[in-house]
Amino acid sequence: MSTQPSIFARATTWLKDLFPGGADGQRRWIDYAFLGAFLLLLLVAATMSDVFFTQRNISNLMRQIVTNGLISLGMLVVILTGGIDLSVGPVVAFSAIVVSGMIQNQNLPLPVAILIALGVGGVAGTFNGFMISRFKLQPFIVTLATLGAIRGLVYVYSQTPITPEDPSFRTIFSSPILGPLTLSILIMLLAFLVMQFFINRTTAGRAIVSIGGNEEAVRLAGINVRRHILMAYIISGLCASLAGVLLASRLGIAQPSVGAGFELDAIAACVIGGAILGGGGGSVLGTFGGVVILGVIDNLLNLLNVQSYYQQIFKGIIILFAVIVRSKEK
Amino acid sequence: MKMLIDDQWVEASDGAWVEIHNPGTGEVLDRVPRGTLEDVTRVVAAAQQGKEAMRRLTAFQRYEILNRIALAIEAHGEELGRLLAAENGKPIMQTRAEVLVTANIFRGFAEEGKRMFGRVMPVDAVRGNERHFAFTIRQPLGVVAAIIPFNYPVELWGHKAAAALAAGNAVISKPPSACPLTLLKIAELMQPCGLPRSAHQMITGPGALIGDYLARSTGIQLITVTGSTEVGVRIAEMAAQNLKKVHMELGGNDALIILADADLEKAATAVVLGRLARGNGQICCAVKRVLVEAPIFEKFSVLLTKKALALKVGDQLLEDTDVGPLISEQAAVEVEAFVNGAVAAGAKLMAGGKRRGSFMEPTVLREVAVDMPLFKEEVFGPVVPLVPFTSIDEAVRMANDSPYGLQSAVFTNDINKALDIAYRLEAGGVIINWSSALRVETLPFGGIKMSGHGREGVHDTLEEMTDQKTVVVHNAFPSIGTDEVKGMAETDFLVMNGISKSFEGTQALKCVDFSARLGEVHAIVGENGAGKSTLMKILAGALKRDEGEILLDGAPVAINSPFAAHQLGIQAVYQEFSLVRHLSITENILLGQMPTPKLKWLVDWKLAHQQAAQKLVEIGFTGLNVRTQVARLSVSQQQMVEIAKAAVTRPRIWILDEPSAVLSQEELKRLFELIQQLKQESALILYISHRLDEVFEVADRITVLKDGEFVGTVNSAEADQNKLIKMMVGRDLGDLFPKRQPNPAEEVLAIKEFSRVGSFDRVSFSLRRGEIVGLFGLVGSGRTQVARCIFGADLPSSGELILDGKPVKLRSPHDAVQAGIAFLTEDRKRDGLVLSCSIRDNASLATMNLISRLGVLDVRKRDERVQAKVSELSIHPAQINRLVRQLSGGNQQKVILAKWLLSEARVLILDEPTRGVDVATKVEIYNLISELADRGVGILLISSELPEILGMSDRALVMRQGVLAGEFPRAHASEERLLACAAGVVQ
Repeated sequence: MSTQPSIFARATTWLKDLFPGGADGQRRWIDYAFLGAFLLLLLVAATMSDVFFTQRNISNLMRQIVTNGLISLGMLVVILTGGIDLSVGPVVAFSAIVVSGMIQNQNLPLPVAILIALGVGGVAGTFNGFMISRFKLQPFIVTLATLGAIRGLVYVYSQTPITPEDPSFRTIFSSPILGPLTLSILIMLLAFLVMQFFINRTTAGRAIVSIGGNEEAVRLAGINVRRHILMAYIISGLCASLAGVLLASRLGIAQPSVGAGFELDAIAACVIGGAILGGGGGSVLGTFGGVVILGVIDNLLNLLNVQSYYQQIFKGIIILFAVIVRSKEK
Repeated sequence: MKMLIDDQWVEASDGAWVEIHNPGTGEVLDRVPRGTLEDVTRVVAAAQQGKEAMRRLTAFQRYEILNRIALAIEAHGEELGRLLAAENGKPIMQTRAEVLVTANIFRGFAEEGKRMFGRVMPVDAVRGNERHFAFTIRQPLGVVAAIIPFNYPVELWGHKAAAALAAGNAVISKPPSACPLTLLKIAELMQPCGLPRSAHQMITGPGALIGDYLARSTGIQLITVTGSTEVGVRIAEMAAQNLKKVHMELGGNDALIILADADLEKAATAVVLGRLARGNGQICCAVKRVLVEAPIFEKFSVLLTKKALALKVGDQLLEDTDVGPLISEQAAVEVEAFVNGAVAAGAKLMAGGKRRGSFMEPTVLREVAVDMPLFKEEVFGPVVPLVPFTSIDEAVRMANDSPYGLQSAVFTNDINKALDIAYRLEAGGVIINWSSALRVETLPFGGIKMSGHGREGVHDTLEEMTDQKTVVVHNAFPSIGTDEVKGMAETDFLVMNGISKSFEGTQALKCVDFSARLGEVHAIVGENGAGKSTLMKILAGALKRDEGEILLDGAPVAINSPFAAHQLGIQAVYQEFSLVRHLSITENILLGQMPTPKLKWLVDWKLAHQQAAQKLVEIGFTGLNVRTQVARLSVSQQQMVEIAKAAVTRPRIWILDEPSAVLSQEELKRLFELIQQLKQESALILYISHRLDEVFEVADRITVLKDGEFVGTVNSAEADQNKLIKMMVGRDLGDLFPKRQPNPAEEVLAIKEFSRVGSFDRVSFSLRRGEIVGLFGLVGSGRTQVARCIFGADLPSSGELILDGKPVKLRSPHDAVQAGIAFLTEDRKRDGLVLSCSIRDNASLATMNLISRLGVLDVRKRDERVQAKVSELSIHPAQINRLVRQLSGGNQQKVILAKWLLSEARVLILDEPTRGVDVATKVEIYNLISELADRGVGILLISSELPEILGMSDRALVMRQGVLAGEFPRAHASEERLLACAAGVVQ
C-alpha cells in the first residue's frame, strides 16, 4: 500500500471536493432525486421522439443551451448575494449588436471587437453594482431601470439588425472541435468549472455566498461587502455579454430586439438548481442542471412541434415543482 | 236577589232587572239586577279597600274564615243543590255533589293557605355578595276578578274565589248570566264568616260589559276566566293593555282513544259519565270525540248505544234524571244544528238526535267524517261522535288535530301504549282508563293551545294568585368570609401558579408564583435573565409555559396565543414596537378595526381619523396629527401610538415592558397619569422596569424575580430601593468562574472622550493586555454602542481611539479586524452568524486572507485550522461542513468564538457572550476567556449578568444612560454596588 494516494484517487477527491453536493457538502436524496428526474426526462424524450437522441439533435441542443447557460451562471452569482439582475437580456442584445457592429461597420479585428463587447457588459455590471452597493438601493429596482435604459441604448446604437459578415466569426465558435462539442460549448463548460472553483475555492466566492446569508455578519467579520457585491454584478454583466457574442456568432445576425425574457429563463434555471432568491442557497452544479433541464424541455417540445405557449406553461410548472420540492427539503 | 257590592245588597244603578228561568220548564225562578258601568266601577273601587283589609289578615285568620265558609256551604247543601239544578238544568244528583265538592275546595285552600313558603337565597355563592341576606316572600296580588261560566258555576267559582281569598286577595266574582242565583245565595251565606269589608263582592249583569270593564281596569291584578275561547281571547286582549295577569281556562274538544285491548264496558260507562249523562254534556273537558280502534268499533258502538238509550231525560229536579235541559233553548238549538248537519253529510244516528225545547236527547253518531263541524268544533251538549282508527299514529294525529288541548283520555290495558300515547297527546292532561272529564281539586287542571293557559288546583292556583318578592338585606352578616375575601377590589384577579419555562437547557423560570389585583399598579423587577420578560410573555400568550397554571378571577385559563390573551383582556406593550411603520397613526391604532359603516370594505376615513385622534386624547397624549406616518415619528411618539393601540381594546390587564426607556420626562409624566387613570378604571397594570426610582413612584406593589425564581412581593410604601436591590441580587456565585490571577501588561486599547450623539457621551477607559474589563449597565445604557464604535461598525461623532499607544481611526470593521480587534456581537442570529452556511464557512469568515494566496483559498489549511478550533472548543457536532443553523445556541456561540480566535486578535470585545447558552457551555466559555486573557489578549466583557461581570472581571465599569458612571476594581465590586450604580441609586 503506497503512502501517497494514487493520481486517480487524488483526482477523484479533487473533483468531489470541487462538487460538494448542496450548500453544506452533504449529498442528499434530493440531489439524486433530481438526477433521477432528469434521467427520466431523457427517457421520455427518447420515447416520444426518435429524433431526440441523434447526434445532430444533441449537438443542436448543446449549442442552444450555451446562451442561457452563461447568463444563468452570472445570474447565480448575483442571486447568491441576495440580489437579482434583470438587465441581462438587454446586455446580451447590446453586446451582440456591438460585436457585430464592430466587425461589420468598424472592421475591427475579431479579438478587439469581442473585447469591446465584453467591456460593454462589464460597464453595465459596474453601474448596477455601484448603485446597489454604494447607495443601498434594491437590486430589483436598479436592474429594472437598467433593463429599460440599456434596451434603449441598443436602439440608439442601431435600429436595424446587423449582420457580421466575417465568416470566421460565424464558424469559429460553432464548428465542432471535440466530437460534437463546439468551441462555444467548451467555453460554457469551462465557464461553469471556473465558476465552481470561484464559488468554492476563493475568498471572494465564499464571501459572496456568505453575504447572501447574512450581510451584516459578513461586514462585522471585516470583509468589504460593497466590493464583493460590485464584483457579483460585474460578473453577471460579463457573462451576459459573453453570451451575446456567442449568440451573434451562432445566429449570424444581431437584432436589437434579441434577449427579451432571457433574465426569466436564467432565474428559472438558477431556482430549479436550488437557488434561493434573497440569498442563502444555490449552487453551480444545480444551476447547470437547471439549464440542461430547461434546454431539454425546449428542445423536446420543439421536436414535437408543440407551440411555444405550451412550452411556457410547461416551464412554469417545472419551476414551481422544483421550488416546492426544494422547500420541502428544509 | 240583589248583587253584593261593598258588603251591601244593591240593585242596579239604573234599576234594571234580569229574569232567571228554569231552562227545562221556562218557569221564572227569580230576578237579578242588571249591573251597569257605574256599578262595576263601584265594585272595583270598593275592592281596593277589600284588598287592603285582606292584606292585613294572617294565614290562620284566613284559614278559619275559609273553613267557616265551607261549613256554611255544606250546611245548606241541599238547598243550594236544588237551586242550582233548577236554574242550570243539570240533574239534582249532580248539583248536590257539585256543592259538596265546593265545600271541600274551600277546605283544601284553607289548608294550603297556611303553606305559602318562601325561600332563602344562597347569595354567598357569588363573590362579593357573601355578606348579604336574601330571601323571597309570597304576597297577595291584590284584587282578583273571577268570570264564572254556566256549566259548573259553583265548583268553578270555588276554585277561583277560595284560592284568591286563601292567598289574601280581595275577590270580585261575576256569576254566569244564565244561572247566578246559587252563587248569590252562597255569597249571602259567606257574609257572617268573618271576611273583611268588600273582600268578596259579586256583580251580575251583561257579561260583555262587566267582563270588559274588569279586564281593562287597573284596579285588578288578576282576571281569571273559565269560558269560551272567544271570551277568553277578548279578555286577554284587553287585559294586556295594562299587563294584567290573566288566567284562561277555555274550550276543549277532547278525544277519548279506545284501543282494542281496552275494557269496553268500562270505556262505555266512561263515555256516558264523561259526556252524555254529566252536566248535560256541557263540560269543558267532556269526552267530545271518541276514537275507537277498528277491530272493536262495532262492539263498542253497540255497547255505548245501549247505554245511551237507557238514559233518562227529564226534569232535572227528579232524583233519577240522568239528562236535564241544556242551559237554554238557544243552546239546544245549536247542538241540534250540529247533529243535523252531520247527519245530512252522511253520519248515522245510533241513538238520540232529537231536541225538545231545551232538552237534547243523548246522541251517538257513527260514520262521522273528521271534517264535519260536529267533529271539528266544540259541541256543548250530550253528543258523542264515534270514529274508527286503524293505527295508534292515526288516532293520536286525529286527537291532536284540533286547535284545543284541554284533557284527553286513553283506554287500554297496555301500560306502555298508554304512556306513549299520553306523552304524545297535545293536551293539558291525559286520563288513562277513565273519561277526560275527571277533575280533582288537588290536581293542576288546565289546557294548552286554544284551551287556555294556567293551571287550577289547590297548590297551583294559590301560587298563581301571589306575587314573589325578593328581599335583600345588605351586609347583614359582617363576619362572613375571611380577611382575604374583603370585597371585590382586593382579591387577586390574576394568579400564576408554579410557572416553569426552559429554553434549550436554560431554565428561564422555576416554579414561579405570582399574583396581582385589579386596580393596582404592580411592578416586576429583577436583573437581566431574572425571567421578567419571560413571565410576562407567557401571560401575554407570546410564549407557552412548560408547567404551571394561570387563573383569572379564580378560573383557570389557557393562553395559547397573543390572540387568546387579547380575548381575555390582556394587552402587552413591548419594547420592540409592533407598529407598521409605513402606515399612518390612524391605521396603526385601528389596525383590523377600521370603521366601515356603509359597505363592508369601504373605509370611512374621516371617522377613522376622528376615532384615532379621540383615542390619543383619551390616554392623554395630544399634539399628534393622526395622519402622520409612523416611521416619521420619534421613538417616544411611537411608544405613545403603541399604547393608544393597546388601549383600543380596553384591556383589563396591561403589561408595560420598559415603557420609560424611550420617553422624555414630560412624556413619562403623562404616562404615569394614564396609568393612574387606568387604575381608576380597575385595570391591572404590570410594569416591568429597571429604573427603581420610577418603580417606587408609580407602583403599589413590587415583585422581585431572581434567576427565574420568585423572591417576594413588597408594598412600595414599605420598602426602599436598597431593600429591593438586596432582594434582586444576593446569591452564591458558586464555582462557575475560573480562578484568575490577573497579570495585566501594557495598555493595548484606550478611548478618550468617546461620544456618539444619541447613544453615549464622553466615555473614556483603557484596556490592558491580559486584562478582562467588565462593562455593566442596564438597558439603554449605551454599552453596545460604545463597542460598535470601537470596532468601526458605527462611527463616533467625536473622541479618540488609541491602539498600542497610537491614535487610529477605524472607519469600518475591516479596519478594526486588520488592526487586531475582534467583536462578538450580542445577537448572534442577527449579525454574528451566516446561518445558511457551514461551521467551516462561518469560522473562517474573518480570516480568509490568512489562508489564501491571490484570492484562492488553501482549502486544506482552512479545514485544518477550523477543525482544530472545533476540537479545542468542543463544538458539537464536530463535522465542519454542518450548517450552523442546526447547532444549539451554545455551540453557535462557540463557532463565533472560533471565528475570532482564529484571527488572533489582541483586543477581544465580547457582548453578552453567554446569552442563551446553557450552563455547561457557559463554564467552557468562561474558562476560554480566562485562558485568552492569560495569553495576553485584552478582553472587554459586556454583560448584563452581574455574576458574570463579578466572576470574570478584573475591573468592572458601569455605564448608565450613555455615560460611564463608575469603575470598580475587583476587590471593591459587589452585585449590590454595581446594580445601585447602574440604577443611579445612592447608597
